[in-house]
Amino acid sequence: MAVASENVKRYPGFFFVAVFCLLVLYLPLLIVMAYSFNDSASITRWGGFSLRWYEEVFTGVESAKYKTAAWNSITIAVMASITATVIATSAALGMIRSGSWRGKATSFALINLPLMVPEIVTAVATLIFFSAIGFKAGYLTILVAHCVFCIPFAYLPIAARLQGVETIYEQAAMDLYATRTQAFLKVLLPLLLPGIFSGFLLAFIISLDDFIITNFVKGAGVETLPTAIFGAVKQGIKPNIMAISTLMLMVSILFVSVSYFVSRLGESSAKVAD
Amino acid sequence: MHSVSNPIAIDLANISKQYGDVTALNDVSASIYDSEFFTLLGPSGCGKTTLLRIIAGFETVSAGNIQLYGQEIRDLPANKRPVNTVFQQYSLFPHMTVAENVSFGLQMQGRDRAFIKDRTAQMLELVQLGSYADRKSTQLSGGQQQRVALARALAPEPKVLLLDEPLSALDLKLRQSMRMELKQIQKHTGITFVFVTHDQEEALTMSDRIAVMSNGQIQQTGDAHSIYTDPCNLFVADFIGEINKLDATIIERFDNGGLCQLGDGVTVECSLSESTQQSEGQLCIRPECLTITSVDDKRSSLQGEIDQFVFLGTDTQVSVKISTGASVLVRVQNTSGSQLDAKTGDQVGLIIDPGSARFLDS
Repeated sequence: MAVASENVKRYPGFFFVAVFCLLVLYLPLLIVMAYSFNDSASITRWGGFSLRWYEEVFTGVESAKYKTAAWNSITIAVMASITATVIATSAALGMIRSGSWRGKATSFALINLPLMVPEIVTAVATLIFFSAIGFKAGYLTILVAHCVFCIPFAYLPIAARLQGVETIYEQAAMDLYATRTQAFLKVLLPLLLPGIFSGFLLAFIISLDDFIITNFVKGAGVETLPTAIFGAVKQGIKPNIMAISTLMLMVSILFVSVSYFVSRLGESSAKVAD
Repeated sequence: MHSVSNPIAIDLANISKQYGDVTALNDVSASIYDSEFFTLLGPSGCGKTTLLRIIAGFETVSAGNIQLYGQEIRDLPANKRPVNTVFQQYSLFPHMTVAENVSFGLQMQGRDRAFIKDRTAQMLELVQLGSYADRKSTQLSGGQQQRVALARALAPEPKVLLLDEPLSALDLKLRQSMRMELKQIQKHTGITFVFVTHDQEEALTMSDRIAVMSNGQIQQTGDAHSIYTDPCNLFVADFIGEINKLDATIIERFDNGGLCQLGDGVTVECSLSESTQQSEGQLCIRPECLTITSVDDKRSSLQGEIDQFVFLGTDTQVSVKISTGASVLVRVQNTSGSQLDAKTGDQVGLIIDPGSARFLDS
């Protein structure tokens, strides 16, 4: 019931505030992207267009370090997001397809709590836990930590999707002689797939991007891209960092866009035509 | 009664279902015969859908037994019961084509490929959707989706087909044509249909037998005619069709009926059901069993004043205020040529068709 005068677009200063917010959010990113193509070694002075920093990322003296870090980041992200997606799907089925049971609300809170706990607290706690059980810090500690904190991120889109799939489809499948497993594999899983895919991509991006927890639980000498970039920045910002950052940004944008379009696709396919 | 001589398809014995403190079904027993179109009719919350879901295997019973052609199926899961369901909502698998939907049950049964292909085509022909096999199920209209759902449920040749208000999501015209189609398919296939509805017209037009339900119990079972003309209690009388109910007291009982008194000394002969015990109750008369006549007609049992006319197309509904103060509805058929020559405020007499006044306990 928006009367014209109540339209927020007509508030005085709306345009200015909107533009200001967008600038604050995106100008730094644009500058980083632009200066990654700067021919000069300066990070403030434009010296013409060049791909030399990208070249240096892939072939320069530090390229081996970045390649190892990138490999670590990607392998950890793949394994952690797959693990988290499987666990999150099981959790969603347990939460949404199990009727009501004692402790359901608590379980829901426990699944989603990691989203609200300050990451630094999780990081410290994870580090203390690992050292208490004598788990030697290294690649594996990063992997385990990533599996765990990715679960709630994978859970949210999967649970949202599952809530939208009515139980009648599984009932119809079982009525037509499908076993419980067949009903899941042939009917529910295909209908859930868009949500599962979104959950997987979200978990993947979150893992790829994580710095705080990773920095705490990684062993000496093991780096992921974010910790390697942080290490490099401590010695001064060089334009090759901007090139790496731009590459990571592109990967993130690609993944989030794919996730968005897949879930849109899924929504329209589940809707019943009139 | 053709159906009663047939073997029993489903035998429900003393079925009860509790949800916590709520009793959904209370000691329900019924026999559904082979090849009959059996309808569970009742208002929402009467337990009819729960009973259907118990037969399908989606709900467990708290007490009682269910036999399917002599075999106890109470503890069989839904996927082991040779019964299929057409659901109220559109339940077609949205990620499959029409043909994939129809063949789903056959595939789960492990039938061979050639049989599945033939049977699927045959079922789609049966519901007149032969050319829609490769469409996505979401591209169909509501009526088409329900026909595919019917084909999907019939394809595995179930012993009994369960239908849970399958027409309620469709618009009126479509619903009426689907009634005829369903009835024809039932006759054609010879499969026992158990149909759940709250729509009495649907029940009366399609069913061989109807079980009227309320409060988790079957109130009366019988064919459409006997339930309409011979209701066993006030709930059934009231739920099916329109009926006039007048406070009455039995003052005399004969072998096959009685004499009841309405308010101020007006007496009417009526039939009594075997279960009638009390003498206080309601005299029930269908509006079409009353005829308007002149006030001094000797055949008239009731006298009153015309209150209102409502034109209903084929009929006119006349409201008459009778001498006891109660209001009585009379249905007069609008045949060509004949016109009711009465007007509001006229004093008239009402003739009750012989045998149509029925006394029921309140």
